[in-house]
Amino acid sequence: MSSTTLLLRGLFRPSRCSPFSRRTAQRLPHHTASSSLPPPPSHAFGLRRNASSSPNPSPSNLTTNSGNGNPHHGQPPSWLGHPLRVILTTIKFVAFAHLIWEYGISMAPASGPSMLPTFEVLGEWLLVSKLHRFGRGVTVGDVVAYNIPINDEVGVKRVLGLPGDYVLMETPDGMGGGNMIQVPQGHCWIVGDNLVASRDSRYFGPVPLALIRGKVIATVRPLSEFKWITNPLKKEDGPTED
Amino acid sequence: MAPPCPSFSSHYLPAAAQVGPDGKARKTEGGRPIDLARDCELLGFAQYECLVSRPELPDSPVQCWPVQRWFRRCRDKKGTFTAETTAWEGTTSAGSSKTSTS
Amino acid sequence: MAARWASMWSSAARGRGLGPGRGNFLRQVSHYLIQYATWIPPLICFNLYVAEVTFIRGPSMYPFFNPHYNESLRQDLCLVWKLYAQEDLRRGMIVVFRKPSDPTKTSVKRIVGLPGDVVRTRPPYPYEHVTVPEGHVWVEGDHADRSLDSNAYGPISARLITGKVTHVLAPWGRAGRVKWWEHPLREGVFRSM
Repeated sequence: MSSTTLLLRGLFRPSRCSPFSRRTAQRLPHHTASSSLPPPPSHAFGLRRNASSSPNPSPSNLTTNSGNGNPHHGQPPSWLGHPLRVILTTIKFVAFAHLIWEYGISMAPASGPSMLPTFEVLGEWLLVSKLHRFGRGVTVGDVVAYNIPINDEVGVKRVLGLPGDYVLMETPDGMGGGNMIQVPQGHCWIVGDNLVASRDSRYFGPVPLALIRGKVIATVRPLSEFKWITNPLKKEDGPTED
Repeated sequence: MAPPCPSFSSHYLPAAAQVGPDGKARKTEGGRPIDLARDCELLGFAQYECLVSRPELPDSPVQCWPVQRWFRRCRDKKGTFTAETTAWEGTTSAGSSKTSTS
Repeated sequence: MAARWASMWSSAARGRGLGPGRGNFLRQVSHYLIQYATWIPPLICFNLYVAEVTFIRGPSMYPFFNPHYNESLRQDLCLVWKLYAQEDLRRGMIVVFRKPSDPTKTSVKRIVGLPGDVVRTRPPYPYEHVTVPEGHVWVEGDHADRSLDSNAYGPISARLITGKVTHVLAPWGRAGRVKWWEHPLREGVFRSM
C-alpha cells in the first residue's frame, strides 16, 4: 500500500517527488513527529558519514542533505499537483494502457450465432491475445478475432487455412465434391463453427493476415465462468466406414 | 477477396498439393512428390450445423449436428502445410489409397 | 585500478560514494531519462492514430514521389495523416496500407477505383475487367510498369489502409500539400457514382 502511494506521488509530482524524493518522503515526518519513528538503518549512517565528511553527523543533518529545504514542509500535501500535470499524466497512462490493450491482451464481448456451439449467442466475453496480431503463431484450428474486410466490424472465426494450405471453398457436401483453393501468400481462410449461420471466407474469400487482431485464448462469463479455448485439431484414425 | 487465385475441383488436390504458394513446385526430403495419404498425418475436428429453435428467447435451446472436417499435415523443405481432405477422406478414392499404403 | 573504478562507479551509481553533487547529478540524469521514457507510449499512439512522418521508398509512385529514383538515393519525406484513415476515400488519393501479401510491410499507392467501380485491369491481372467489391478499393502506382499493385494482388480491403499521404516535407523544392484532386483520373474506370 505505502509503496503504491509512493509510486503515485512519483507519478503526479515527478519533478520533486521522483525516485530520490522517496527518501524525503520517509524522512519528512522526522521534522514533525520524530518520536514515533524508528531510527534510520545504521548502514545509512556509515555511508553518509563517508560522503559528507561532516564532523558531527546527526539525523537532522541527514534530512537536510537529501531533501534540501523541502518547499512542501508545513503545507498540506497537495496530492495531485498542477492541473496540467494531472492532464499530462492521464494522457501518458491512457496511452500506456491502450498499447497494452492493442499489443498485449484485451477482452471484449461477443455475440452472434456464427460460432455456435463453441460460443453462445449472447453474453460471451472473449480474452484475446494480441501477441498473435497479424496471425503470428496462429495455426489451423485456432479461433481468431479479425477485422471483417468488407465492413468496419470485428468478427470471430476459426482458421482453416494459412498461406499455402488447401481448403474447401464451400461447405462440405458430404458427397466427396467441391471446389478448393490454395490460400494465397499473406492470407488465411476462416470459417465459423456454425456452418449454416456464418458469413466468412466462403463469402468474402481469403482474409489478409494484416486484418487478424489476435487469437481468442479464453471465454469469460463475468463472475461465473472462465474457460480456455484449445485448438481442437488433433490426430485421428480416420473416418469410420458406415 | 483479394488476390485472384484459381480454384480447382477437389479431385485435383493430390496434383495441386505439389505446388507451393509462390507457384513453385514443393521440394521434399526424398525428392519424391508428396502423397497426401502416405506422407501426411491425418488430423481433424468437427464444425457444426446448429439450429436455434426459438431465436426470440435469450436462452433458446440449440441443436447441433457435427460436420467432420479432415486435414492432412504434410512436410516439405520449407516447413509444414495442411490440406483439407474433407471432400475425399471418407470416399472410395481415399479408401483405396489408404489400403495401398498398408 | 579497474576494480577501483568499478567500485567508484557502483557507489556513484548508488549516488552516495562521491559526495552529494555527483550523486545528485546521476540521480537527476536517470530521473530525466525516466521522465522522457514515460512519453514513449503517447508518442507511439500519436504515430499510430494521428500522424506520422515517413520516407517513400521505391519508384512505384514516380514521377509524383521520388522523381529522381534512378539518379540518386534521395527519398521523399512525407506526412501521413492517420486519423479517420479508412473513411472518406476518394479516387486519386494517395494511401498507405498494409501489403495484403505480407502483413509486416506497408505500401504507398493511389486509389483508382472505389466499391462498385468497374476497372479495366492491366497485364498481370488474369481478367480484363473487375468490379471492385464492397469495402474494397483498387490501388495502383503512378509508374505502371514499376509497381506491384492491385493488378497483381487484386482489390484490397479498405481495412488495410493505415493513412493518407497529405504533405510532402522534403525535398524543400516540392514541399507542400499533396493535391491529389488535381491528379487526372485513370482511364478505364467506370465509376459507379
